Amino acid sequence: MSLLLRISELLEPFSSDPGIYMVVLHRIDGVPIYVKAKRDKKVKLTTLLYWLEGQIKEVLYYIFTRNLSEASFKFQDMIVRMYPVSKTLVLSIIARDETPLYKLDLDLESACREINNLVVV
Amino acid sequence: MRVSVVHSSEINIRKCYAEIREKLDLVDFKPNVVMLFLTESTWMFWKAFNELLQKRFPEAQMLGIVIEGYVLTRTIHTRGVCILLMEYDGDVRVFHEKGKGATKTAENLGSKIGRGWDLIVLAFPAIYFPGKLRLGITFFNDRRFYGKFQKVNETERMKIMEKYSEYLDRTNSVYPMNRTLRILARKTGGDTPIVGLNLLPLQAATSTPFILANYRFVSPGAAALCFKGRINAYYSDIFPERGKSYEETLEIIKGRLANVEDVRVTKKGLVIGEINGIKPVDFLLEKVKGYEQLSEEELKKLLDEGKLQTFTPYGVGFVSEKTFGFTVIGLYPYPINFYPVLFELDYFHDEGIFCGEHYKGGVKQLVRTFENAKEDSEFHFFIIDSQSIFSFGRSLFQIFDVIKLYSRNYFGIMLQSPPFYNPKPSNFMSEIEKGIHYFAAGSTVLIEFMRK
Repeated sequence: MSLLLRISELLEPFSSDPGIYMVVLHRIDGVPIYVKAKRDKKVKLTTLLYWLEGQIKEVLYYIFTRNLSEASFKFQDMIVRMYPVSKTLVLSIIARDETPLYKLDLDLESACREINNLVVV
Repeated sequence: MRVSVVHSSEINIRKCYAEIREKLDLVDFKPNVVMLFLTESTWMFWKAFNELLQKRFPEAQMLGIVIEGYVLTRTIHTRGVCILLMEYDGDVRVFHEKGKGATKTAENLGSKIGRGWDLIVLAFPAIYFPGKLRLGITFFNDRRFYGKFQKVNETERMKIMEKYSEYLDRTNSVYPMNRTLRILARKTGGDTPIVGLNLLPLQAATSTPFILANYRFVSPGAAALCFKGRINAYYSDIFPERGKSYEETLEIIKGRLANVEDVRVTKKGLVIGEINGIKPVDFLLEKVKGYEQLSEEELKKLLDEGKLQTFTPYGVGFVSEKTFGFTVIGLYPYPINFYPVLFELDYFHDEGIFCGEHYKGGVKQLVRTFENAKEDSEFHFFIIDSQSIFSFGRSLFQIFDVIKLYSRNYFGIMLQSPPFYNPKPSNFMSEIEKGIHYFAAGSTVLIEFMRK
């Protein structure tokens, strides 16, 4: 099974969550290598994805130099969360702001760990 | 003994079911124990998973419950389904009893179980959330009994609280954990440890929590998975040892909890009538700014949506008259007058403390029970308090730093803080009656399956 297929299997359950608009796995330079987005006309995800690309480098800098364990941005009715997966990958989710994140956080951390095991030799 | 954990964290139910079915095909042994753990995202589809397992393993002893999450090797999941399959070397059997009132259910179940087991895993609802009609009747009775309570003297008040407690017992609304464990321990000879799977979802829904026993729906009721063979169970709470007197215990506990205030509680049976002379919920609203009392309609709506919050950082704590142990009941602004409690209150001092939640010792304290693990153990199954999800968030992953020191083969579930009956003496803060342990947060139970 290819690495990307295995990663998409691990991230697939999150995109089924009704509260999550988009799941993205970014490369170190900000380029997304996995994107799963919901079709929702109310949410302009493409603009947000472009904006996220610009943030990745900055977030990675803080993750590796200041031990930042996660980054969170809140827009009008959306939350963007970014979690480091490895030294070259960052996972971001875009969710409805009323989505309870306390449990989701644990599942995302588990997914990050599993992806980390796949990509770090 | 052979063990296999089959799971899917998929929340799309079709995909989840397909993944589980596929993984079950790969199981290469015939389990005699099947434990089905459904989560928030899948419990409403219990029938499908129940049927699937019954077809695959019709002769296995089966127990099914709803949990908040499960712990696999180095990952934690809160969605999907998880199934623990075991080919246990000793004797194993599931007993169940349904809906004859909490006390009667415990007595009948205890008689069915009998003596001679080495460990009992007992699943029962801490509080059962009935359908709308029954809930409406309970609200009506709460108002009716409390109306009388406010007009009479102290002696009559006690009688009214006792009657209302009997009503809660009769309708299976509350299974008080100390009474339930006390009855089970007595009926099973008193020398068998009992692990309580005390079911109270963090977000409750109508007709929950539910229990499946040998592929039958037994709610509201209780079920016990009984083991005979080489098996151990250990318990830990997050506190230092209790004091040898009421004053000593209070002094220890006051140093550990936040926002402590002495209070006087009017209580009897399973209910609190007043705290410092006012309704329990009014007392909470007076102390905690920002809380608003739910209306009955709001509560019913939340139950319909499966979103009624049952966790809270505030509570009232009591010192046991029997052991000088200490325990807490959480307070939340529900639309009720009498405040139902998850344990029988008659064994506690009337003077209590109002307090906020506070952990000391961090996440690692939560799994210190693993320190008891023996070298010739084969598999560890543990239950940790689901409120730790709020207390620690992603730091909860630090439990693996401790667990890896003691176990290579483990599986855990997250549930409301588990109660425990231990026939051997201990000095835990949360030992509230001889052998019976319970604290509202931070307790852990470890079940250890030994090599043959």
